[in-house]
Amino acid sequence: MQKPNFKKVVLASAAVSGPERSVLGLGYRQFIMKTVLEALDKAKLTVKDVEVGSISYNERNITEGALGCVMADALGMVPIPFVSISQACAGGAICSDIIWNYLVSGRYKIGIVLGLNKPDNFDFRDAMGPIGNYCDYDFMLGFTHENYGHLRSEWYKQKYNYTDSVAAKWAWQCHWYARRNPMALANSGPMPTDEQLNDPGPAGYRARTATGRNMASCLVFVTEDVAEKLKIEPTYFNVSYAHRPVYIGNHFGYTGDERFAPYDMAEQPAIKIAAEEAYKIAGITADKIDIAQVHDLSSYDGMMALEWLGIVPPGQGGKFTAEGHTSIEGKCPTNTDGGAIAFAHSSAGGDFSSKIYENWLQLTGKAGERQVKNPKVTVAQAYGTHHSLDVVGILKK
Amino acid sequence: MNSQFPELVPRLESYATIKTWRERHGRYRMQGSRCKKCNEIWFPSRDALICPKCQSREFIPYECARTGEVLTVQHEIMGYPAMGYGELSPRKIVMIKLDDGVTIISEVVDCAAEEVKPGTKVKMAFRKHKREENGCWMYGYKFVLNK
Ligand SMILES: [Zn+2]
Repeated sequence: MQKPNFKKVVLASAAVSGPERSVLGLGYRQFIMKTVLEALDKAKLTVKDVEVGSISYNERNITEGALGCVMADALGMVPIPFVSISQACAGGAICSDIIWNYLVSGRYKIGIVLGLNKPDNFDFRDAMGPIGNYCDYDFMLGFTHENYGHLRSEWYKQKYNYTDSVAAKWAWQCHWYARRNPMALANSGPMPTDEQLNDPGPAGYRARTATGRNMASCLVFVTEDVAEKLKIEPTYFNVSYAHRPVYIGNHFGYTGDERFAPYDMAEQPAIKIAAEEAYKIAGITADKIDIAQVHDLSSYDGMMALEWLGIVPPGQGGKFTAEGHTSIEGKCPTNTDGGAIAFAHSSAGGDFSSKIYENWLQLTGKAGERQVKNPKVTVAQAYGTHHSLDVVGILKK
Repeated sequence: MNSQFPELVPRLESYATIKTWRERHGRYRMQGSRCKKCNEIWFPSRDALICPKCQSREFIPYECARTGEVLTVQHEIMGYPAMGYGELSPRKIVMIKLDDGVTIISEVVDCAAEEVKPGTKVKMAFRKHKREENGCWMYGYKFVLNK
């Protein structure tokens, strides 16, 4: 990949919806309006300034075949181009990549990335099974993405000789940040106890694993010259993504590409491929990263992400967590919004965009009680459909 | 559809039964593909797709080894069984390395939970799965202990 000669892309503003678990009174179009207007308003822009848009959704809960058309209409933005992407949890990153490309090429100067997750739009149990990229003999034979995630965690623990105490530490840290983030689902209430987090039964497993939420998100991207005109403190954005085979059995010694052959389910070479490209475009190296937001559908997924982003060596994510290095005073404060466990998991609605939002707050000094001291370079990582899609976004000063 | 609600409920996201029929060879016999050009074996089948290794589109049917070893196990006690599998819960869901090197996701049946661990030897068995959307029972591979 060549380092392109392009216009720099700035995240001008961002917004995410509040932590309400359910928004039953609003349809999805009405639900996203407040978030879009809030993000545009923060950047001193209006809907008429937007030149191109994209939206990430999951067609299992928003049953539309052409959501781009619906959103361009709902936002009064007709006739601008509006792309819709249904690519699971990391879909927001694909939307960001599309808008990034429009802006770096110079074709447009102002673009928005929307994310929408509204499971109450669709019967949840029916929707649950087919969510994901299941191919011939997994979904059909009764294996869901929850089985994939749980097996991957068990394999990681087994491979590197960890117990659930490291996952309990990860989850505790997420809750610590969430209690200091008013947008997090777990913003209030007592901290979970060690006993609850280490429970060997289903309750403990749930405590160490993601919880779901509705989410509308909006990122506003502009070219550097527009940022200057709007007097916006620039935070520069770059993003890259890579794929891995869809069938989980093929996460062991996949021979289809030599870059995957040496690895198994506890290793994430597609994150590495995406990260290397994103770092190259952004002109950084892993050791320059001050804050990481990673996709922790299970605590172990978060640890694997830190490893394959190059922040710690493979297998060391659990140790890094246990030693407290993901805390606000640690070597790499991680999931400072509370992560999927305590900020909560919103799939296409924000699993990428909410991480960019948090990094933006951190870089611009607006993260309140959970503000990390003087960060300059941040990373956001998300996966879709169990690492058959891995994305890495860099936001830096 | 389950014993509580035996009537068929029309669902938007239902698979057509023709899909189940199309995939019967893989489900009944773990039939994948062997690339005619580079000899690589693939599971699930890549028939009519492209070989990721050599880009050929010519495959011959390949039946995976029917014995192997458990790599890792999940005792499915979380209370979120897949559609159609509620009455079989809790299942012992496993990653299996077959003797020919193919790795698959499956489940081990006809034994106690504590008998399934990393390293446990297993063999393929033909078992009833769930009901298809048309109400017919679907059959396919599962695994039992290979003592
Ligand atoms: Zn081949």
